Amino acid sequence: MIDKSLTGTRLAEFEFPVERGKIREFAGAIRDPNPVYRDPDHARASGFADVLMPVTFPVSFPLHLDSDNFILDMADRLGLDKGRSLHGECEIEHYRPVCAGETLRAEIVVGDMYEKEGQRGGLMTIVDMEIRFFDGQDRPVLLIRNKMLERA
Amino acid sequence: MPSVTRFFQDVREEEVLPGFELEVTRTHIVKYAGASGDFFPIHHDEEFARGYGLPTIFAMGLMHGGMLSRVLTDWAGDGRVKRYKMRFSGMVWPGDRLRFQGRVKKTYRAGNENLVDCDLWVLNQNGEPAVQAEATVSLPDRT
Repeated sequence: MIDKSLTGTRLAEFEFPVERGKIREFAGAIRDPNPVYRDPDHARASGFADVLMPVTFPVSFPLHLDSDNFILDMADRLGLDKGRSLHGECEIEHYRPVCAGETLRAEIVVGDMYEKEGQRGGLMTIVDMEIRFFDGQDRPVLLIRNKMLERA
Repeated sequence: MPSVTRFFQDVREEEVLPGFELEVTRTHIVKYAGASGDFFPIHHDEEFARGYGLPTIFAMGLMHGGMLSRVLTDWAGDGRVKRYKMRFSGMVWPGDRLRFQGRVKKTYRAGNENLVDCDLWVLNQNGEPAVQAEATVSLPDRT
């Protein structure tokens, strides 16, 4: 049963260090051989401060939270049924390139939680979440908008 | 893959972005789980998946959604993506043969920037969409 009282609440605030090794690992996992994710000299020659983060790299944030299994814990905390829940949408915004060596501050905020008619009939429950990332000057640099769906 | 410079003036609407294919393995899923911190058991624990009535584990959408981004960045160059939005339309199973593709939708100027909107998608071997994505990149002027 989803916990609608969580709407508008900040679930976590944490540091997100952007690291070379993690970027390399992530680029390998998404099978992108681009040297801008692996070779600091190449990245600098391309005009970046250090190796660049891949487009979807911000979704690796769970590793920086104090949970053994953040995604699982989050589903439980929101009250989502694990057997009927799916990731519906994920949108990532980059306000500027972010490279290894930066440490960002991040916060997870629960948005609206509402019902909607599903494509195959029946009521679907939707949970919107945002993960906002700020730099050392507290400027927004990255944003993740997530939509979780729980089928009827 | 190397640092390409794509100039705004050279982009055509409906231009096809070079794509690629991949056959999904459990190793891909496990590597991505570790890299991204997604240890939701339905993606790696066979018993857990079967316990929920599924035939086996399935891939998290952000895995092939992440792989899809390469179609965009190989074409647009590095550090140019402003927005990347994925809609997870269909489940992906080990053994699926996926096609990763994209196309330019619109070119326009806004707020002093040269912007290009692209559609990108992942199809399985039956032509069913697994991910449907939209992206916006900012490109330099040809000088």
